[in-house]
Amino acid sequence: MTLDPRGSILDIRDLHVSFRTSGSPVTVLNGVTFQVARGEVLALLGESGSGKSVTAAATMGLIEQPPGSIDRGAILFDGVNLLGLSPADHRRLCGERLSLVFQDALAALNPVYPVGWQIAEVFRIHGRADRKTAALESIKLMEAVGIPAAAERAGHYPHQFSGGMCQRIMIAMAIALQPELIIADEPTTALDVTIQAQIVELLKALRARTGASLVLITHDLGLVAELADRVVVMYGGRVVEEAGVHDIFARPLHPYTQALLASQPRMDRSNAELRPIRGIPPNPAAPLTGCAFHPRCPRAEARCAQEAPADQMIAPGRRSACHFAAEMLA
Amino acid sequence: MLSAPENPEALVAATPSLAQMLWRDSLAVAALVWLAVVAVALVAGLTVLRESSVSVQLVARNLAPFDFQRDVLQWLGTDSLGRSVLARLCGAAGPALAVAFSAVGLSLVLGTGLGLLSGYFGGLAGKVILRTADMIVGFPTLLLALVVLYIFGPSVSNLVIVLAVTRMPGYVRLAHAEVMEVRERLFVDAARALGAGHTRLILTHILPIVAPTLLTLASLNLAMVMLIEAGLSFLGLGIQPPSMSWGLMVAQGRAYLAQAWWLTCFPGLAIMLTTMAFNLLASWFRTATDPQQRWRLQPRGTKT
Repeated sequence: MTLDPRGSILDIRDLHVSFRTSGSPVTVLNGVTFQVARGEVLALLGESGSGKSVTAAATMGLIEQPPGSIDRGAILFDGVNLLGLSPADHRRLCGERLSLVFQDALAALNPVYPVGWQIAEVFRIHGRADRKTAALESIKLMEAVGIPAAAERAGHYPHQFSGGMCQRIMIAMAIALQPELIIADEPTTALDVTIQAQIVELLKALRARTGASLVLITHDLGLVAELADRVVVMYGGRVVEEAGVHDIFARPLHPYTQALLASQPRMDRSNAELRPIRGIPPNPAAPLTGCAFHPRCPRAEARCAQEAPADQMIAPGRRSACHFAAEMLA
Repeated sequence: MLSAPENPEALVAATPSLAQMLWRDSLAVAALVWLAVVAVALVAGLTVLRESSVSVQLVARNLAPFDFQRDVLQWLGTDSLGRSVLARLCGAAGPALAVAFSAVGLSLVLGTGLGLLSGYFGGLAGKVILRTADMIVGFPTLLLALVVLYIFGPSVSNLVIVLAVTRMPGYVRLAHAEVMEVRERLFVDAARALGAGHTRLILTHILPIVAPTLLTLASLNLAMVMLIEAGLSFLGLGIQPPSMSWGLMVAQGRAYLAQAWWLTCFPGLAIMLTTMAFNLLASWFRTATDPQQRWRLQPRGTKT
């Protein structure tokens, strides 16, 4: 399939990542390919273990090698292959042009430094401001992410903040240098529902203001519907479907996406029973032949256990890795 | 400048000053008072008491302490040559502390540095560092010190180097183990994702978490080093007479243990109180520098 890299800020191509364990290497990413256009919100959707976070870690250069190993593929950021850069050059981009928001914000903040100092650290790492300017900037950022009494709170330590406030501080650090791409790894999973809504509003507002691209890693379909422009669905270390957010909800083309949507409670269908996806997620240490989803797939035929389905472009902006994708579209 | 204040540092003063926190811990205050006494004694020993600490008065041999009719210098008794124990205690403070501090400081810095490197980077170099530390641990400290000091001759600098090398493995192993744990924590990944390099990660993000544990070990080692120095001085391989140290005084007083208990007791007491003071201060310092423990040292009712 042909790609036009000019429009995309992030272009991941055929990414293979494996981890060495006591036994044989375990392949966790098995040819992941997707693009993020400038200014768009792309949701990376999938259950635990589908490879969403590893994709983010590979982009940010956080995979330790060994035990990890990036076996194949490319991660083009603004046309530059991040995997071909020296670690020092890669680091220069991280924090400055692309940044990451972690799921567990309290654990992602250093317990021995005040939060203001930690936000200011971004400026110091990249030599963008002297100590005093950095301290002032960090207070402004805390105000921008909606922390009340920011000037006073800058001197407080992470354990003195609630989970939602810690997440705001993480977001402040991620947007400090106005990066072109922000990856948010389940930014709301660790928060309760009302705080989730506030963080979603904050992400929306910041995105509207900065115009940065956002990769939203999540398994929360509500969040996807709220924020995303486009959705990439991952399963078992592969991309199984990609579509615009409307199409994903209106007409999912991959049996996994269909099953995922069917398993969610819906307000508009009061009596409908929830339909869980039967079976268990694939074990990356014991890879299956054929399609990774076939043991759980209601449509599976003999062929699904034999040959892996190709990742096919079935309509403009839509792809699906299922043997029956074309039939389902028809 | 918007609503942001002119001086952000002033706002960080939400936490009490070190002096305020010290005042809340009476044991730490007592420790500090004792160390101040030692400091005064040290200065006096180098200046006004320099002469008296070596002046021999054979008529006043082995005088018992606490006879307040006599000269102030004889209040803590005199030794077998009639020298003032008080003056000698002051004179010995300098060498004893200098040796202990330089040996502990050297082993702390070197051991921590090597432990940070082996824990953070691992690999072959890390293995070599750890196994070397194991080899030093496996060799009896006193035997190693004896061999080295016998070959290179007893001098203060050799003594410091031997003590530092034999104490170093503890710091290497402790730093290694702590770093292995801390470097897996999420905030290290977060700092890396912001673009922090190895040097910054180790020194700014990992070391402050590890440092309090290492400083506690160092304060315990001060006592240990003073005692080893005493033992080596006793064997004639440490500090050489006419130089003085508390350990040497204990050693010299041993022959008179039955007749003149004060010759060993007072320097022994000086070693004990000083090392205890360091331990107490180290424990206070650890609490004061830990943001999650600091409230224990804050005045009641001002918890933030």
